[in-house]
Amino acid sequence: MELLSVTNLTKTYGTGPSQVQALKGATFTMQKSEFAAIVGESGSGKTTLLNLIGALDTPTSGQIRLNGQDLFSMPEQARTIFRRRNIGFIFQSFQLIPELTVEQNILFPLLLDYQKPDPQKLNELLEILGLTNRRTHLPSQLSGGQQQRTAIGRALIHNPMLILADEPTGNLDSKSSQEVMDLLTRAAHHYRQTVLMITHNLGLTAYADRVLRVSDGNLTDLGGSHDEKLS
Amino acid sequence: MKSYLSLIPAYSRIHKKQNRMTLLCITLAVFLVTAIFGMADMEIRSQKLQAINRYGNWHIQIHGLTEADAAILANRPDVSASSWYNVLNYRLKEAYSIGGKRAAVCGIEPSMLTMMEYELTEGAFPSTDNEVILTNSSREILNVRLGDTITLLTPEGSSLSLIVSGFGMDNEIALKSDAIIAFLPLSGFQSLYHLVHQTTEDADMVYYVQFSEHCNIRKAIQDVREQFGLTEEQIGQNTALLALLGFSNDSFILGLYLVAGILFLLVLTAGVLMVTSSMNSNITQRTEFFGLLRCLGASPRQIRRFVCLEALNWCKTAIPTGILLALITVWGLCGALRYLSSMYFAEMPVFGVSLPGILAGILMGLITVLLAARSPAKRASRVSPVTAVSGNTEALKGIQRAANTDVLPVEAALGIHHALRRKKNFLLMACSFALSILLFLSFYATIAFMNHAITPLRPYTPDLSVVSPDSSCSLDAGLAERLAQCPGVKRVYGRAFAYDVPARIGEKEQTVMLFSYDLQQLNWAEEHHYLLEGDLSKLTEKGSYALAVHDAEEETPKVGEVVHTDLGDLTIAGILSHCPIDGAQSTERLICSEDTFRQLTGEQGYTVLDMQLSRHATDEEVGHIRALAGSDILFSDQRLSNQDNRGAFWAFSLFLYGFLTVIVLITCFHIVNSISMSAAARMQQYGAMRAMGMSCGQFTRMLGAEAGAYACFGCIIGCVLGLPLHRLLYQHLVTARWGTPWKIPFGALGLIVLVILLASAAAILRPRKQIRKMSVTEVLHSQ
Repeated sequence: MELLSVTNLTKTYGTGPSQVQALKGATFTMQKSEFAAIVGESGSGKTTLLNLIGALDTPTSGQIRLNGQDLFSMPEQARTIFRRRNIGFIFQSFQLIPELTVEQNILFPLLLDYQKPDPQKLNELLEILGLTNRRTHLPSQLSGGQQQRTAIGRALIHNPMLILADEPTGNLDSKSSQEVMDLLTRAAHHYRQTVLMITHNLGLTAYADRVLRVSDGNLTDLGGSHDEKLS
Repeated sequence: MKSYLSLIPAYSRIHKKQNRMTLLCITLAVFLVTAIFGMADMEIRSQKLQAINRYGNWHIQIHGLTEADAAILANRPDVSASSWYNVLNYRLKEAYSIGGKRAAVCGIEPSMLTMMEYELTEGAFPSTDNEVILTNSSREILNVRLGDTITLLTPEGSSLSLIVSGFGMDNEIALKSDAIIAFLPLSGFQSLYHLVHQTTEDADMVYYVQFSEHCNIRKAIQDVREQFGLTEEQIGQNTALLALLGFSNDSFILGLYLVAGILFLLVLTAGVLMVTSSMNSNITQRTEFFGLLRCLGASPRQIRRFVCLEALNWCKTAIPTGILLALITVWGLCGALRYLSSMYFAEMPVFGVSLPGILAGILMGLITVLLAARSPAKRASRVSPVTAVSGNTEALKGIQRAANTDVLPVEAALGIHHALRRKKNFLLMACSFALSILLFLSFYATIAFMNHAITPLRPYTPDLSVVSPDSSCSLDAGLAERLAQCPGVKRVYGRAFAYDVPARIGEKEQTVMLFSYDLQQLNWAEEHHYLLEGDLSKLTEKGSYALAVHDAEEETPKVGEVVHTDLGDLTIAGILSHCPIDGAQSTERLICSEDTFRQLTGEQGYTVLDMQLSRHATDEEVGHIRALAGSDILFSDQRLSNQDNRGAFWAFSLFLYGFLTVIVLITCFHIVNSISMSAAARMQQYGAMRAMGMSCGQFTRMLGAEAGAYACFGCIIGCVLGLPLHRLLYQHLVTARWGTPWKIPFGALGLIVLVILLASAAAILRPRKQIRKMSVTEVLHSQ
């Protein structure tokens, strides 16, 4: 079942001679519970693509449909609400709210939506994330791995259709990276969520069902996760 | 680039927008101090000249000094001029006359003319005992010229022929009272005294002393007292001049110095807080930059130096701009004051440059910036080099407690937590909000002072007065009615007087001045809250009730106390703060109703009939009123001086309300600036929240909660500290002199609290607009 459809997406920054075309007519689709990785050199347009899919930025042209809904035909307020209910974000630098505990950070999207959290679900998630005994800690009291697991928890708590992860292991050691990847795989395969992840680490593409490559603003679908293809 | 510090101007050039707010804060702080000091300096200069013109340029007067001591005193190095002086018939109540006009005779030495800044317009100082100086107006009244002989008649019936040796400037008292002032040389004066008092003993003279310009006058007075064994009563001071020179030991004037000191400290603190919070926010926004410097090898000390020098670099532009703005403002205000009231501000320099003001501005700018830079410099030097590579992690540090999302919605909880997170910063912000209230209330106390000090706008101030020439109750009520019918007259109200009535108040024997109030005057006392305590209505009831008038220097009878007068007993029904009659020493002013006055004295007429004219009354109409009043009464036309005094009131109002407006504007600017800078420092975090799905409305509420926390705490602190401070200043400025008790200034307090709340609400508009305009990715990477 098709969840995400990106059609002829372009993004241009600047005007005149300083104009840069960061994305040139990217087109692809993703199925529900699919785990895709985006690879590419620095400055190739990967983050731009992810930001556009997450409705964090507006495209110059093209269309993005999530679960059949055109993201950019909605007014700003509706798009914000749509984003907080349907998309989960995981950033390289975690972006946790420093004033909130682990538990509050995880519940943040629900709190923004004025929803009453389900304690049982929260406990279950904390258990999966291995953060049960850290639930009342502030981000400043956590290791990098724990912070990223909290960020993953925040992306999962409201059961979003799509999880967007920008270099989720970029700031982590190999053990923590392994844990994060296991969690993302579990989200896709166990909770049937669609995951789109940017990575520089080609080794991590092994976890993905499909690999997309962005080079100089052009998107290429590399298909299944075969290291030999990527190299 | 010669050193790493060369980065400062280069960085400033690139980040002009980021530094603009801090620059503006320093400029405003310098402007505020220079303008206040400059205006105060101009006002003091003008008042000093006025005081010299009015009271003379002497500092002390000594009673009962021997001639030998006077000679020693005159030779002291700190004494620049001295003279003997006395006057006969100062109050014009004795029968001294020249050419049929009442006369006062002064005995002076030539140096007295210098001390009084009294210039001879014609002729010279008398060289013999029988020569005299007259005022210019006497020349026309007596129709005399230099060398003419005039005859001075004394109360004893003797006469003295005097030759006019000179004419000098007119004297205010002479003009008002239509009398002649004659100045005799000392020896001539003593001869007159011998003649009048049939004695060979000299009159007791008063010795006037002017100290040299740069001596410590207060210390010099103490020295003189000790040197000649003088008591405090023997030394009188030119209080007004000494106060303006800063040497007064009068308790009221010392109170004014205290008020000036408090206001200065408040303005200084406001400047320091404003610049500190602005610089703090500026530093917070650049944590990554300082991290980068640390990363590249800058030591914490170098970072501290960088921040301090950067602050001083801002001073290069901000201080001259602030001073220039203040100079222009001072010139504008001085011009306006002169235009509005040429009588009060005639001596005010329009394009004067106040060096103390400029110096205060420069010092304030530098001290403020150096003090303000200390804390941000320390913060910047503590930034870890890791910050440069890991982004602005400053946000993660120092959080001890999580936001409470159980009670409040998450955005409100976060907003309040943002405000309360850094205790020091929170206190700084709340205190700077509170300081606005303190400043406003403190300056507001000076408005109450102005309303009490400048009297012409009292409701009972007349435009014209008809006065009984012998101060008796000889003006009949019919005249009042006829005057009221005259075109141009708005209202007529009279007072009957009984002077020097022997009385016993408590155990003290003294005299009272009893006068009547009609219903109109009693209504004014009520409407304008002149009643300090008691009950006005009793005056209209049957029985002998009177009102006493508060006197700061003398004991006032208490409400309910019975004053036993030779006319009858009067019960004090209330105490008034103001009345149209100035008090004389040891004479109590008592006001009763017309009925009571008639009952006690048997008099049916008035001593004074005051008139207020309609706005468009013409000179012809006034001429008609004068003719109707007749020529055997004293007619006083106060329209011109009222107009000038009104001008003075408006001028002072312009000055004080101008400063209040500046304080309000600076409060608004400071609040808007502080909150928007605080928001700018958290942009990245806001970006993350927006990415998580925080809507613009939620973002606005979050900022609103933060601004509200600062504003609420600021208002609470401001009220807790501001009201006692307002009370202290009010008591020093108003209660000490006029007795009006302090009341909570609900209006002013409400206004400034409303301004703070509105400014706080307006403050969130800019960051809100900024966030709305930027895409989430831009916000995320806005550092």
